[in-house]
Amino acid sequence: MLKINFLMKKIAWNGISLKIPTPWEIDSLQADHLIIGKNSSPEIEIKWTDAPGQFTLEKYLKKFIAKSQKLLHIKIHELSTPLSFKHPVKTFEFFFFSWESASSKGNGTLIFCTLCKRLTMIRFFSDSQIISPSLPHSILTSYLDHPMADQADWQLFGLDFSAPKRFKLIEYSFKPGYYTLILKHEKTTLTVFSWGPASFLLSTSGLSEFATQRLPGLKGFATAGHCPRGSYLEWSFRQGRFKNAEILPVFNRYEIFTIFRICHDTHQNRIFGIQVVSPVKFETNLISRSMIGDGE
Amino acid sequence: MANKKKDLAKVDALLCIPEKNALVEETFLDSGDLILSYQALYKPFFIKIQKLLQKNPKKRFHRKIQLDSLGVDVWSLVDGIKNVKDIIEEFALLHTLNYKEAEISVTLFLRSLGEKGLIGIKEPKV
Repeated sequence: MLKINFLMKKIAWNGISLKIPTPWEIDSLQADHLIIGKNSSPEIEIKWTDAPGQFTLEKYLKKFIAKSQKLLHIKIHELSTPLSFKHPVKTFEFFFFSWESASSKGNGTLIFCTLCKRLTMIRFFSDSQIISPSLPHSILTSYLDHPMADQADWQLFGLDFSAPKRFKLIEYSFKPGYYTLILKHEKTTLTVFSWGPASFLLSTSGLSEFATQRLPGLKGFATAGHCPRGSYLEWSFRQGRFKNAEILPVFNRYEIFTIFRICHDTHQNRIFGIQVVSPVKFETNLISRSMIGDGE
Repeated sequence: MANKKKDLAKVDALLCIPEKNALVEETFLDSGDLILSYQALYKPFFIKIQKLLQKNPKKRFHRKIQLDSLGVDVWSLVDGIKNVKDIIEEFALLHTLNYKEAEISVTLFLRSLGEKGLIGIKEPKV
């Protein structure tokens, strides 16, 4: 039997996740769109969207296909579902297709999840058949369009953490040496930082100095601790919504609670930070269950 | 959206080989930083001003740039043999960086070195 001779790695981003061959890298990233390639040549494109409140699947699919054809300058032709194809998630409905443009062609599939009502288009830049065993088949069967547990994974560009799935992505930035992801649920904001390479960034200053340089608003003293990734420093403080608000006790109810933990991961040569800002309480649980949490 | 034709040019660019300008002088500092000294051309505007003030205006002047330890690492990987992709991979390995992160940093840095005339880029031998 043919075997897939690739080491696979997981990519998890904004609710979706899939396994791709280790040499493949994300070439383009948006909140609802990914292009993954090898040696800067695209291999797979994924685009997803949530269904509107009221819809009929047939109309919705037709609209999505028409939009994709126009946007991508491609022609889509319907294909029958490969006989050997089976996906472990039973709520997925598949619509296989082949596509062609002026310069290339390939296969793909539309996936509609009857549970979360999300529609995903996965387009392969090769016309190899999606049959078992094959690389497209392995990738497709690893695809999930929503987290299966309470925690949603985030795994890309060396970042690897999970956060409660109720937290939605509101902002992100991936610049060389500095990544940030801002997630929000109601009025609680969770910000994930990653800086690197740590050996360079910490060559002239300590972790505490680095943290206060990057987040000048940190108040009070830091407590030190150790998590599975390495040593960390943690600040927790409350502050008024505006300057000198603490003078009048009546404004205490409007205080915001901030916890910031920063950790030097020597193994990955990076500095990771998690900040949780809440108007209700110190969200220690979010910190302790984070990527630089206490590992319990 | 993905465009295979456009991306092929990038693949070719990654195979190009950067080479140091032999006229660049290197001075290492105790801190580990590196000073690169090179001759740069005055802009025509400044040459005109010089002509107004003196008989024999200088067309060139001495310029220095200081590289930090990350810059030194990339500079030392430029040996006229390794291509851009090799340099990115070695740099990523050296600093435990994600390939994409290293690719952006190294290509931007090489581009700025090229703009200053500190390196040239040669096409790979077929």
